[in-house]
Amino acid sequence: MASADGQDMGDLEVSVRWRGPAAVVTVGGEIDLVTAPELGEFVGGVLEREPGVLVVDLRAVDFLSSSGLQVLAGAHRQLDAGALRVVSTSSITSRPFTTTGLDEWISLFPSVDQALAGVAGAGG
Amino acid sequence: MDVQEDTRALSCHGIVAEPGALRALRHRLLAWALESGIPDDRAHDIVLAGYEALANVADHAYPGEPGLVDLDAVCRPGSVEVVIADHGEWRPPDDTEDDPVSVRGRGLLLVQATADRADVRTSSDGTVVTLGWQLD
Repeated sequence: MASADGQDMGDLEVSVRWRGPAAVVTVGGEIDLVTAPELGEFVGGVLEREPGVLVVDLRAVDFLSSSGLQVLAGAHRQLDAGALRVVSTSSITSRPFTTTGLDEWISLFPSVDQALAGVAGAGG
Repeated sequence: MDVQEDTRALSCHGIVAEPGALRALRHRLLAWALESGIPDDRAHDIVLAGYEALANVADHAYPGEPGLVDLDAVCRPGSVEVVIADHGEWRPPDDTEDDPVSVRGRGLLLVQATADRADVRTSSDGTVVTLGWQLD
């Protein structure tokens, strides 16, 4: 949960690891107008390496605004259908997808392993 | 104005509509909502809808440089109202874009889906967005 005196500087934690052809991007913090550009840049860099599947793990995200959805919808457009998979276990990160209908194109999973199920070479 | 004991209000006027200030304002709104005893889920709805309305101001109301935005929130027994006012021009989502995965306008969609009531009034003075929730 965001603290009342939270930092007002970009303070998103983003990292990537590869499991075979799949990139798993883990995000922590608040995705808003401050941090969405940073996230977009990071995801753009991962997309340049042409992952077969991109998993974005949002479980450590405690705020997700439409600026974050915009980054993910942009990634979706650059990937094959179904290749972008989002891991989300809280309503804070799931509701923005479901209320806007974006979950029709970008599937939500409860864990990274489930998001990677069926991906050849991803292990797990 | 009389403020009844069971009414809690938050008033933040003249906030610069730029990302850092809007994040700080969102944090104030969340803290206020939780201190007012609003359940967590509802508090997050309020903060998301409020922030998207504010973000729309930052994005659209003031092309060029950031303008100012006012936020007023009132929590009464059984209901919450958040009013966001700017003095620029509200730009509605561009519906000429036909890509179904487009996100333009999703901010406003989030506002409407997350609030029980969302009313947008535009006049020559600017735009007032009134968001309402019923509390169980």
